[in-house]
Order: sequence, then structure tokens, then C-alpha cells
Amino acid sequence: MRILRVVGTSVLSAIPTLILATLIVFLLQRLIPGDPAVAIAGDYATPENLARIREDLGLDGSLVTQYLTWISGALTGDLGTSYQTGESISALIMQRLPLTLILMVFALIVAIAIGLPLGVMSAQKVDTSFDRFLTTSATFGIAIPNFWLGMMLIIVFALNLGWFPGPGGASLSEDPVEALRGLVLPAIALGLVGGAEICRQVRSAMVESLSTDYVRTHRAKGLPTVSIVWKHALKNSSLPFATILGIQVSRLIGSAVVVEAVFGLSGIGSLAVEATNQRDYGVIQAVVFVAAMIILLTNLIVDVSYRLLDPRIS
Amino acid sequence: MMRRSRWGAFVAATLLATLTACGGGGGSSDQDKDLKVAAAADASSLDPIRGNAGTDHVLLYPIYDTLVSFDSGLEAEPGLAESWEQVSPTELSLTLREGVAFHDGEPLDAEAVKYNLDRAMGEGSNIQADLAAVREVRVDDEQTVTLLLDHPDASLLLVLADRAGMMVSPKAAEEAGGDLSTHPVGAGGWSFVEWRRGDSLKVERFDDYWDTDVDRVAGITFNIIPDPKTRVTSLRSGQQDVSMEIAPSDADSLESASGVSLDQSPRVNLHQVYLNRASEELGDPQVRRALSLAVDREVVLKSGYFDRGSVAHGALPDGYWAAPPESVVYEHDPQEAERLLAEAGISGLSFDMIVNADSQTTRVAEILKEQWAEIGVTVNIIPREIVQATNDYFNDRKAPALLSQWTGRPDPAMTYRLMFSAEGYFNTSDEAVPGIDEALAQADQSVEPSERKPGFDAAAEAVYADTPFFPLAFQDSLIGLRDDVRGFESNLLGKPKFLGVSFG
Repeated sequence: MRILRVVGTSVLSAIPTLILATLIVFLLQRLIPGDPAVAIAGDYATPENLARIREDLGLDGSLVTQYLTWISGALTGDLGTSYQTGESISALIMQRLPLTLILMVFALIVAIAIGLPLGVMSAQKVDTSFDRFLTTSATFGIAIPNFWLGMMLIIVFALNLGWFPGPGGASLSEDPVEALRGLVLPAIALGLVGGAEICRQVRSAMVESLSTDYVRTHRAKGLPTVSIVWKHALKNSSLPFATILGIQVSRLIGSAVVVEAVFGLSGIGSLAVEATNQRDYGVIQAVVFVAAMIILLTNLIVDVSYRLLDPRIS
Repeated sequence: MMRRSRWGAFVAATLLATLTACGGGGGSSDQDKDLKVAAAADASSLDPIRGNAGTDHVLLYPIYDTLVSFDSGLEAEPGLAESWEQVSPTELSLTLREGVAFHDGEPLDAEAVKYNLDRAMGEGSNIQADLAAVREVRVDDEQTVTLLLDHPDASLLLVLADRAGMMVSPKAAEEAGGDLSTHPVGAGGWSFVEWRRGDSLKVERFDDYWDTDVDRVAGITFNIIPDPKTRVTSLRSGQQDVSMEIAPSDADSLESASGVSLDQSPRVNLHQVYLNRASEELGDPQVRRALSLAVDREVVLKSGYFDRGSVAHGALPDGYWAAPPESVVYEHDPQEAERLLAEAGISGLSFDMIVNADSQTTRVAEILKEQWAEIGVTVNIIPREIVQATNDYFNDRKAPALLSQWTGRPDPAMTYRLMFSAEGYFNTSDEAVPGIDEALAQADQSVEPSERKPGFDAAAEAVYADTPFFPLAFQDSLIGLRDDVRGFESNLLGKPKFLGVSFG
């Protein structure tokens, strides 16, 4: 019951944030210079075509009316239709979202698989040359732009060694196994930076945990180090770990835009880029709406996990 | 235990999500494999009269055959119409092939052609302007249709090799409420299978295609990959058989790579500076001429376009049947440029130039800035994202110059008219280049290239005399191919059709 109440409160408090996010995006995209009619008319622009398109789009209505129409549709699951193609935006999002979600899950697995053990090991050997080496590497890891890392991974592992498929390969619906293999390199490109960040955070949390009184007591009682580190100290460091995972999810959504372009993937990141280039306001709005939903959902999960991990938090 | 069960649940959920998302897949056989083509941009629409981008054609040609076709040099060839006759300058009669069917089995006859042309001239069509001269389409008999014109328009023949000539099934169009954007039905060599917007377009070989002699692969999958470097790595890693629009900066690396080759061929894609002749800064033809003389086009080609193209001496490339005559040469003569500026009483000229904000265009802008600085002219470069650049220059007319591209049109008259006639959308001065209308009228009297050439020569000379733009370079079409792709042929339009391609 307590958890249900927590979830309920968090959901309620997320709604104003969501509405505010969509409102900001709605207003910001109106500031993108360039007439959407010009983007839609493309090479066939004539004064008549432009006038017709502007009329069709109904862009002359007041901003308040446009926003209210949109938000009332969005709250009932209708994200409108694309200016460019007349297709349902909800269908478009559903088509592109799974790939990005799978990529994010892969990237998180990579980030955790790298960051968690290294962070723990580093904390155990604090202030040794091993620790300094890891901390320095993590700093470099955070500084590496993921599009550059992506290009390097393609050159080494797809072009030269041929271990993984190159960019622009099979899609999930036609050859799932090959498509998933194709997600390994982008997941590494996305996840490595997150791994470095997790490594640093876990290290500092663990350094703190390992210097507490109860750990000293455990040691005095002769508990094996493995048990002290992985069972007791790590559990007490799990709050910052949960926090950093939540932050990583927001970062991954942002980075997906670049990494999807480098690897020729059609997820919602590349959809956002296409829509911006075409001034397809409805689609941009929907992508941001979905991204905001994912981030709010992640925050909700992090909130709930705090309470599960530490019953003292009310 | 708690931890283990939570992690177990996490891993299980991940696998489950992965497997669910993967459901419903199927492999493809290597024996009769699809041609995989990396395209730079998705189709804006799969309905030929509703699309807006020059890049659409490559994705449309496999689905739609055109009434008239063209050879690699852009001269008209029989298409769905096996012959034509210009009864008079205002009457063009087309004789259709017999026994041609659309993908839905409907016959492609004169009624279907009339339906299509009326549709292209009607509501919701983006290409009404292409057929502006047509007053009426008359069905003479089952295989013959005649276009009756208000005034002579010889470009009509090649207009029918473009969007307006792409025939859609009237029955399918009616069933789709007039919009075939997502369910195209044509009479091309391949029929539509699936379109995942922004991701891929799949077509499969149409068994009842009229041309039984030509090689056709079992299917074509166009994968949309906007990033040029990714198109190259995708081709090199074997994910694609063909990669469109290779950037000049990537051409060298592709040529030296194994298993792939580069198809380089000229095309009508012109890189140029658009000028507003009604602007205060560039209103004087003598000033425009001086600025043009200050440009060393050889340097622009080598440094700006990595020498992958040819210097432009007009709106159309050398080697094209309608190319400017030899008398038209855009020389490089900075001394003469300075003399002309002094004669016009101009000193310290400064003007704004909007520039598409991609790395190549920006590089070219810097070269021009340097060259104009040598004759004491200052240009302020205003980089803008492409839609904004187009909007700011052609609609809002915020600057007197725009460095951008002209993607070309199948008929030379369309290029001249759109850029230099008074009503041309791409002519921001709203004033015709002196002599252009007369020259184009001369070229409209016949549909025979040899009879139209003198008109186009006069048009090129009229343009040269007034310098309404600075043509810079024609960038070659650069297409990457895997070594087992046979029979690929480019054309001057830079929009290949995939008829005749096979694996070998």
C-alpha cells in the first residue's frame, strides 16, 4: 500500500512537469526559423503551392488554440498527423520507438557491466596506482564524444575485423538476430561513457561505505571480503547507483540522436532529426513528449527503488 | 537472494522485450537476393504528384514507369509511349504501348493516361506548373492520347519523363481517395511491398512488366541513411550493394577500398550563387559581371569540390545536348573585374550572402570570400540551415545572394524558365533576364533537340550578358557500388533507374 501511495503521488507530481515540458517545446519550436511550408514544398515551391500548404496546415490559428488542441489529443493517445506525410504520428512513434528502447537497454547493460565492477574494484584499492589508472581512464571515458567512438568502433570491428555488421544493416522485423548483433557496437558507443560515469560514482559511494563503522565491525568479526563488499557495502551504496542509472537514461535518449545517425539506425533519435529538418512540428512535439514520458517514468522507478532499497526513506 | 531474484527478473524482462520486438521476422534467400541501396533521403511521398523533393525520383522510378523515358544524355526515348508526334507546336500526340498493365492488373490505356494528366493538373498536385501549357487531354483511341496546348511548350516531352509522366493506376488512386502517398500502384518494373518511413522502402519484381528483355533484380530495398560517412561505411561493410550521394570528401577512400568501386559521372546538378538583380548592391549588371570575373572556378572546383566535377559555364553542363555554345565562357580576370568596378564608380562594395550551412558549401563560401576580397569586395557570409536559407532568400528576400544548388530538371527550358523568367520562383528580382523569353519561345517551336538548340544557345548568351547568377561547378554524381553489381548506369539527371542491374 505504501508503495502504491508513493507511485500515485509521484505520478501526480509528474503531470505538471510533463505539461510544462510540452508547453516549452511547443513554444520553442515556433522559434525555429524557416517556414514549414517552404520545407514541405521543397523543390516544387511556387507562390501558389506555398499559399495552399500554409492554408492546409492551419498555422494561422492562435498559438493557444493550437496548443490546447494538441495537448487534449495527446492525453488521449492521439498525437495528431504528420505535416509532411499525413500519417498518424502515434503509429510513426510506435514504429521507431522499439529500436531506440532496445538500444538503450543494451547500452545500460554495457554501462553497468563496465562501470559497476570497475567502480567496486577501484574503491577496494583506493589510492593505489590501479585506482588512479581507473579514475583517469574514467575521466577520459566521460570525455570521449560517442559519435567519434562509434566511428572508431565501426572502422575496427565492422570494417577491419568484420566481427559485427556495419551500419545500415537488417531491421528488427526481417532478421532479428542480425539486427541485434548490429546493435552491439552502437550500444558500446553509447554505454561506454555511461560506464565511466557509473564507475566514478560507484567508486566514491563505495569508498564511503567501506570506511564506515559497520564494515570495520564486519571485518573484525572475520566476514569474508567478498561478502562485505558485494553484499553489505554495495547495498548501502545502491542509492547513488540508482540515481546515476536514472540520469544515464536521460543522457542515453539525448545521445541516441547522434549515435543513431552514425550507425544508420531508424529510432526516435533520427526521427527527431528528420522532423526538425522538415519543420514537422507535430512529430517533434511527439518525440519530445515520448522522451519526457520515458524520463519521468525512469524518475518514478528511481523514486520507488529508493524506498525499496532503503526503508527509512518515507 | 533478493538481489539475485531482482537481477534475474531484470535479465528475463530484457530478453523478453528483445524477443517480443523481434517476433514475426523472416530471412531472405541468397539465391535471388534483393539489391540493397543506401539512399540519402527518404521519399517525401510515394505519390508522384504529391512529393516535393528531387531526391524522390530514385525511389519512385522502380514503382512508376514514365510515359517518356530518357537516355543517359537526357534525350527523350520511348517509355510507356512507344512513339509521339508533334502535330503542331500546340498539339502533341502520344501512341501508347499495347498490353501494358498496372501492378493491380488494370490496363494502361489512353483513358488511364488522361486520368493521370488531369490528376496532375488538378487539386492537391504539386506539379500543376509543369503542365501549365496543357489546355486539354484528348483520348483519340485506346492507344492514342493528344495533349492540346494553350501555347507551344517543347519541354512537355521531358516533363512526361518526370513526375507528371509517372502513371498511377486510376482504380488504385480512386480507392485511396486520390492520395497514393503510402500505397503506390504504378506500372514500373517493381511493385510496392513495404514502406517504413525514414527507414526503408521495399519493392519486388513485377512479373507482368512490359519490357521482358531487361535485367531486373528480384527486389530492391532502399535503406535511408542520411549521414554520408555512414553510407560509405555501410557499403564497405557489405550491408549495401549501392550507396547513393557519396560526398566528394569520401570519394578517395572509397576508390582505394577493396570490394567496392566508385561510379563517377557528370550530371546537371549545379552549384551556384543565386543573385537578386533587384537588390541595391547587385542591381548593376556591370558589378555582377565584375564579381563573376573575380571568381577562379578552377580553384573552387579543386578546393571546394575535391575536383569531382566540372567548371560551370552556364546553367547546363558541357556535353549535354543543350549545353551553352562555345562563345559562352565564364573567364577568370581579376584585373578586368577591378576595371569594371572602377568604371561603375563602385568602391568598398559589401554585400550579404546566405549560405547553406553544410561543411562543403561553407568551404566554397570561404573561397569566394577570399577571391572577392582580392578585388576589394567584402562578402558577409550568413550560414543558415537549408530550409531557413531557402526561406530567407526566396521568400523573405533578406539578402541579395544565396550560395546553394540547382538540382536540375529533365528539360533545359524548365531550368531557364524557373531561374530567369519574370515569374520563375527562383528569380527573386521578378524581372526577366533581357532576351530570355524570346530565346525560350524559339526553343519551344519543336520537340526535336537539334531544332531547339539555337533557342537554348540564345538563352545561354542572354544569361551570360546579364550575369543574373554565378554558376560555379557541376558536381559529378558519385555512387558507390559493390563489385558484384553489374549493369548499373547513371544518367545526366543524377537519378539512376535500376533497370538492367544484376548481380554477377
